[in-house]
Amino acid sequence: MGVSRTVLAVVAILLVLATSIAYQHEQIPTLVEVAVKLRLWRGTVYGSGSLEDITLRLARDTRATFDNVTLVPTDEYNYTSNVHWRLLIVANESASGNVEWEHEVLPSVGKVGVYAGVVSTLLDLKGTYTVWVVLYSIHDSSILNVSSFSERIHTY
Amino acid sequence: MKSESEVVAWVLENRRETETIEVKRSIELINAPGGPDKIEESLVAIANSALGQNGWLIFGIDNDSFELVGMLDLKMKNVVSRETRTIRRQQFSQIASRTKPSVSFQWNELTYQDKELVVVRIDGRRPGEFFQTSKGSPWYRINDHTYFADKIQIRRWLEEPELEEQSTSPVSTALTIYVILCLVAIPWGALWVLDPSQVVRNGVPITLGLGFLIALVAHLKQWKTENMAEWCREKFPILLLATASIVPGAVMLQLSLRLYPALSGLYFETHLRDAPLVSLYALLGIIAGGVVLNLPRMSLTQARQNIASWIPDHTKLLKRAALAYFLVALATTSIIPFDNFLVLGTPRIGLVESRYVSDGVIHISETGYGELEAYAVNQQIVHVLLPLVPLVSRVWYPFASNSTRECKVMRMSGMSASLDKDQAGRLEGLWLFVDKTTVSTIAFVAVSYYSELNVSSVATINFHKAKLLQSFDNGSQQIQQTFEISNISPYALHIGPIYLFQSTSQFEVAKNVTSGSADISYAQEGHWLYLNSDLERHGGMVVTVTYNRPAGL
Repeated sequence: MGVSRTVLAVVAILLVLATSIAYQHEQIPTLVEVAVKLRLWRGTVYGSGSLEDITLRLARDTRATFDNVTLVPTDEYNYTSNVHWRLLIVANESASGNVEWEHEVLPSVGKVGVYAGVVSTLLDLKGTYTVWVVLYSIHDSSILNVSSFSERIHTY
Repeated sequence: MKSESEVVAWVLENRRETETIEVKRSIELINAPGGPDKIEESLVAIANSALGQNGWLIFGIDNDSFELVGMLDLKMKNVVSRETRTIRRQQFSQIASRTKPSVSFQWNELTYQDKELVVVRIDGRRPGEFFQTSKGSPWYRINDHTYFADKIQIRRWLEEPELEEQSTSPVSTALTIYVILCLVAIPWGALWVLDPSQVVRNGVPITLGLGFLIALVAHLKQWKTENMAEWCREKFPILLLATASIVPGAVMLQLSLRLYPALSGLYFETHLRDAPLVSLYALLGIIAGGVVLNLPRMSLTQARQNIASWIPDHTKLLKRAALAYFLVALATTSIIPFDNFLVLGTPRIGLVESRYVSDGVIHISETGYGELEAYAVNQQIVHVLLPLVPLVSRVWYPFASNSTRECKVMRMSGMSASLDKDQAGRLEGLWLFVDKTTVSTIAFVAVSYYSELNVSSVATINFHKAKLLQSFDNGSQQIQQTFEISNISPYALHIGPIYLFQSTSQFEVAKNVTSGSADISYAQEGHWLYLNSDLERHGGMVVTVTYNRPAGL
C-alpha cells in the first residue's frame, strides 16, 4: 500500500512548519543577559567602586546569576573589613511597570583591598525599557551610591 | 495539409478518402460489435501508408456521401454526449496502444460548419518500420482501399532508405526557442530573486547543467524534437496551472515582506519583492510558449473547443489545483502573523541598546561669532539574530541622526557594517552584511554618532551689559564684562573654546565657579580672549573679565 502524493505533500508542509516553529522556540533568544564588570575598593569602614563595563546580549541560557568577584591578589592588605556591595538593576517600562533585580556582592575573603570580577543575570524584558545599573557600597547600616549607569533598550 | 480544419475541408471538397485520410460516420463505431478491430485495422493501415507524415481518421463524416453528420450515434438519431465521447477516446487509446508498435495519435475535437467532429491525427511510420495489429496483421492503404501487406511489401518497407533530412518545421523551431528560453530564464530568474549577486557567478553553470540534464533525459527517453514538442503540448495545461499557483503565493509573499520590517526591525535588499512580477512574467511566457507550440496546428475555434472539452475532463485536476492555490496562499499569508519562515532565512533585530551621551558630557562650542552649538556623542548597539540558512546577507537598519559630524562603527561581531548617509552627511541607516562563516546565531554592531542639541536646553548663558571703565589717549578702552553660565542638563558640560572679546594681553578675571572649572585664556593670533570650561551637573560660573580693547576695534 503506497503513500499518496497528497499525504506526502501535507507531511512536507507540516515538517517545514514544525521545523521553523521549533527553530524559533529552541534557538531564538528571549532573555536579555546583563553582565556588569566591576572594580571595587574595600576599606575598613568604607567601600567604593565603579561599573567598568556593562554588556547586554540576547540569551537563552537558564543560568540565572553569575558572580566571580574576587580579591585582586596584588592589591590586598592585612586588615579585615565587612564592607560589601549591592548591585541593583532596574528596568523601567511605563506600560507594564518595573523589572527589578538586586544582588549582594559579598566576596568570601574578608580582606581590605581591590576586588574585581563580573556579575551577570538574565532578565525577561520584552518591549522598550530604560535600564539602570546602580552600585552601592554597604557598611553596617550606611548605604552609599558609588556608581551608576543607564541606557535605553528596545527588544523585538 | 497541416491542420485538422484543412483536412476536413479537403475531404468535403473532394468527397473521397486517400491513403492517409479515412472517414467514419460515427464515433460509436469504436464501441460497436467488431468495431475495435476495424478501428485498429484502419489505424495500422493509415500509419503504414503515411510515410514520414501525418495520417488522419475523421469521425463525423459519412463515408458514402461524404456529408458532415457530426457527433451522432450509429442510427444517426441522437447526439453523442460529451461523457460518452470521453469514454470513446479512452477506448480509442486502448486500441492504439495494442498495435505493434503502438501508434501515436492526437485526438482533436473541433466544430466545422456548426457540426462537431473528431479528427485523429496519426503519426505515420518512419522508413524501415511498419505497424501491425495486435493479431500481427500489417494493413496498409492504396488510395481509399485497405490491403493486407504481403511479404514482398513488408520487405520493401524494411529496405526503404532513410528520409532526407527534413526541413525544420515551425513547431520544432518554436520548441527549440521555447526550451532555450525556459532553460536560460528559470535559473537566472530564480537567482535574481534570491540573490542578484549570484546571477553571473552561478547562472551560467546552472544553465549548462540543466541543459545537460535535459539532453540526457531526451537521450534516455529517445526523444526526438517532435516527441518533445508533443510532450510540451500535452503538459502545457499542467504547467500553466502549476505556474499560476505561484502567482497568488508570490503576491502574498510580497505583502508579508512589506510588513516584515515592523516585525524584524530590518529592511532587506531582496528581489523577493519582484517575485510577483517574475511569476507573472513566467506565466505569460508559458502562455506565449503554449500558444506558439499549438498555433501551427490549431485554429482559434479549435482552441476554444479544446479548452471547452478539456475543462470537464479534468475537474479532478482543477480541484487539486484550487487546493494547491489555497495551500500556497495560506502558507505565504501565515508569514505575516506568525513570522514563521523568514526568520529561517533572514536576519532580524533582537535588541537595540541606545546609550545617549555615552561619554557623560555634553559639548558646547562656537560655530561663528556669537553662535553656539551643543552636541553629544551617543552610542547604539544593534544585536542581530542570524538566520539558520542565510538567504539574505545584506540588510538595512534605519537610523536617525540630526548631526553631520563624523560617525563611526566602533566594533562588531558576526557581521560587518557600513554607514549610509543622506546628501547632507547625516547618518540615516546602516548596511549590515551577514558574515556567512560565523558560527554564532547572534551578531552585533556598535555605532558612535552625534546628536545636535538646543543650547538653551542644556545651559543658561547670560552676558551682562559691558561697562566702560576708562578710555585712553591712544584710543584703547578698558572694559568690564560679566557673564553667567549654568549647567541645567543632567550631564556634565564641556564648554569651549568660546571666543569672548578682542583684547590686549593685559586682562583680569574674577570668577566664581561651582562644581567645575573655567579658564579664560588669551590667543595671540587675532588678540582674542576665549573661554574653556568644564561644569559638572548643577554646576555654574559667574565670571567678570576686565580687559583692554585695542583702538580701532
